[in-house]
Amino acid sequence: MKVLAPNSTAGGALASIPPELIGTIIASASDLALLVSPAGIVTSVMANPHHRTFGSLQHWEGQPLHAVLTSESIAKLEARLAELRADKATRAIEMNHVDELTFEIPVRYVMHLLEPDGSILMLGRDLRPIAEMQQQLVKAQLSLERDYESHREIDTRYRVLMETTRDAIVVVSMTTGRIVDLNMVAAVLLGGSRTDLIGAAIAQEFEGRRRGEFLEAMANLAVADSSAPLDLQARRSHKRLMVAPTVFRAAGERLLMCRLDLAEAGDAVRDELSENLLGLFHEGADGVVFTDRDGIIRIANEAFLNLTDASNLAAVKGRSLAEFLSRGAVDLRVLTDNARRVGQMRMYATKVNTAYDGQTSVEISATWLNDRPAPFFAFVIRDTSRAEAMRRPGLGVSDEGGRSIMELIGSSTLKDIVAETTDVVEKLCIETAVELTRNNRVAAAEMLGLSRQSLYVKLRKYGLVGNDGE
Amino acid sequence: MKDARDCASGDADGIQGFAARVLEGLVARSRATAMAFRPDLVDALAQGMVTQDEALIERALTAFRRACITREAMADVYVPAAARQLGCHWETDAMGFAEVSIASARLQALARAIGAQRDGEPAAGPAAVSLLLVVPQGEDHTLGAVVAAGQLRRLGLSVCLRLCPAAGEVAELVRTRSFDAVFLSLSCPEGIEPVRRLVASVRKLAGADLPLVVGGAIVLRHDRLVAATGADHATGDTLEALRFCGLSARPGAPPTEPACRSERLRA
Repeated sequence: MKVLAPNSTAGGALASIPPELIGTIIASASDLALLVSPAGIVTSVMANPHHRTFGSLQHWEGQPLHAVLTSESIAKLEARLAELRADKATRAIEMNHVDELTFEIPVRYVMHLLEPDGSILMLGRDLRPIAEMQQQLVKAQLSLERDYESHREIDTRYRVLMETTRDAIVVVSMTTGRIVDLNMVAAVLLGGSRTDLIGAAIAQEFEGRRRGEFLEAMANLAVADSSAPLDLQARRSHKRLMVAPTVFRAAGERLLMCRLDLAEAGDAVRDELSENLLGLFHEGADGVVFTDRDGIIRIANEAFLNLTDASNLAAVKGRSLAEFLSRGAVDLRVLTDNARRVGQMRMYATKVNTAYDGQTSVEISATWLNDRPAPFFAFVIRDTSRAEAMRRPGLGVSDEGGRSIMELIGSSTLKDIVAETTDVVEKLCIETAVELTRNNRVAAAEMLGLSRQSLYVKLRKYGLVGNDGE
Repeated sequence: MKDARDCASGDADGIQGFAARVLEGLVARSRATAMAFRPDLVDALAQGMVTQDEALIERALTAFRRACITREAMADVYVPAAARQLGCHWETDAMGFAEVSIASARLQALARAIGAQRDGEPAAGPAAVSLLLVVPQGEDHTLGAVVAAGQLRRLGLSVCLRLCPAAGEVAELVRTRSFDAVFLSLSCPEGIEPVRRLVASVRKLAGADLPLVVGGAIVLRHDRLVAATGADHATGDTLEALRFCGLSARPGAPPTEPACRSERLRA
């Protein structure tokens, strides 16, 4: 390029290059060089003799440059030429050549304005190798996307299969002994939620089993031709389960697929509602307790155990529900008497005793299930302690306080949160003070420990001046 | 009034309630601002994709979290915008096409990663609208179709996405599955002729009842697409395409709202 720089230090020596050599030098310095007249006609095509062939391009000479460019390249060329003529600084441009004889050729040119006649010298680099690489990239990406799409289809089938089958299925990694996947039915049988159980050590889900021993027993059972499934007791649900294993390999990993069945026969085929109700009982956020007609707990769900800090069902089963209510037998009697009279009682507010002498505010609904020889009471117990702490006039029901905080953290810095909080706090306090004093500014300022002047400034800042008329 | 007195007397419940109220105010404020489109984030994303500098990419992603922009909005709105910006950089020669190609590939990987987080995403129900979305052979641009497929799937539609399928595959799909519509994504005018043939072959199999819509970057560059391809409609807007076909998304997901807005509202 320096050949053309009149002020370069090499200028003197270069000036001695014979003019007939300059064309050869330019051609060798680039892959393809074009000389274009001010009218946009290609006056000279110089292809590098040592470079991979462009084919013969001499027929471009005498043609408008536009005639050998793709349509989007023409627009680019015009834009770059206008810039070049305006500031005379060299410009890089990527264009695609096309004519009836050659395929599309991408070329990166550096354009030089040749004074005084205004011709343009364009020194080009052949981008075909890069274009080929780009095509490879596009192909690789395409096959990746295709793989992903077919994976997605199969994944959907697998998920639907897992969720609709009546069989309880648990997939366990033989290497780690942890649960890789399980379906809802299996989670219910084991007595936990699906999310809790994924990643849990399978051996610990059964009573009295150590990891190595469990996996070995399963592996032996899986290869044996005809053996009965293993009879185990689930730790969380206390259910006796028959576990039938199959060992298989997927992508090198040894996996164990266990089918779980209830040991006690007679677990009648469940319909959708029963299954959903069972799911709600196990997964639900509210405590559910069934008692006999005297209020003795027969069964309670995990949420109730959490509410009362009980370690397991055995710790509450057989005890009176009254023991867990703050007003004891009085609470229980109000609930059961009302339920017995009209079938149900709703929104009874009281407190539940937790272990370690704690108390939690709750709302209880009671239902009298009298359609059977031995009637039952069903209690749904909802923790209202957090809602109570949040519930304030004008606040609305704010169960999402915790979520609000999570939404803020990570989306703003602590500094920003504190700064914005200050504004909100100020505004709320001022509003309250104005309300308390029935819009007596002097009294409000005094209450807030502000001068009248600064109260007025803040009222303006928070757009509270409109309260004047009230 | 009770609040103020509780606070003054230092009642713990009162202060908690008060703090909750303050936080709710803050959240409401940040939600309101998150709905606005942020061109600076498009720049940050495009720049992040050009570089190999992990820190720059991380900074760009942090900026999105700070702005409370959901990953859905990022996939539906910001990824396509960043791709368009990369295209503009090539047109103005601010970037070479090698750079643009690599950055676009990274962008697509990002879109895919966002789409891959399916936790909690319900499978399309049995009655869901089913769509065939095809990027015809010869096309290099698949980002738009991948983004559109993600968007439609989140709206509860069952989408079969086929990228540059072999000759006969589309016909086979139309014959064996029953689609409610076929969408074709096209970017360059050279693809019009193959699409015209594809449309004709699908019509022959499925008759005139199956709506065929052409979309993609071509829509901005060609104004007589319906005549040129034989399709029923041409639009660059996925939701408009659905409306044209008389199809609706899952109830509760208003199809008329731009993705970034509806996602925020649901959050």
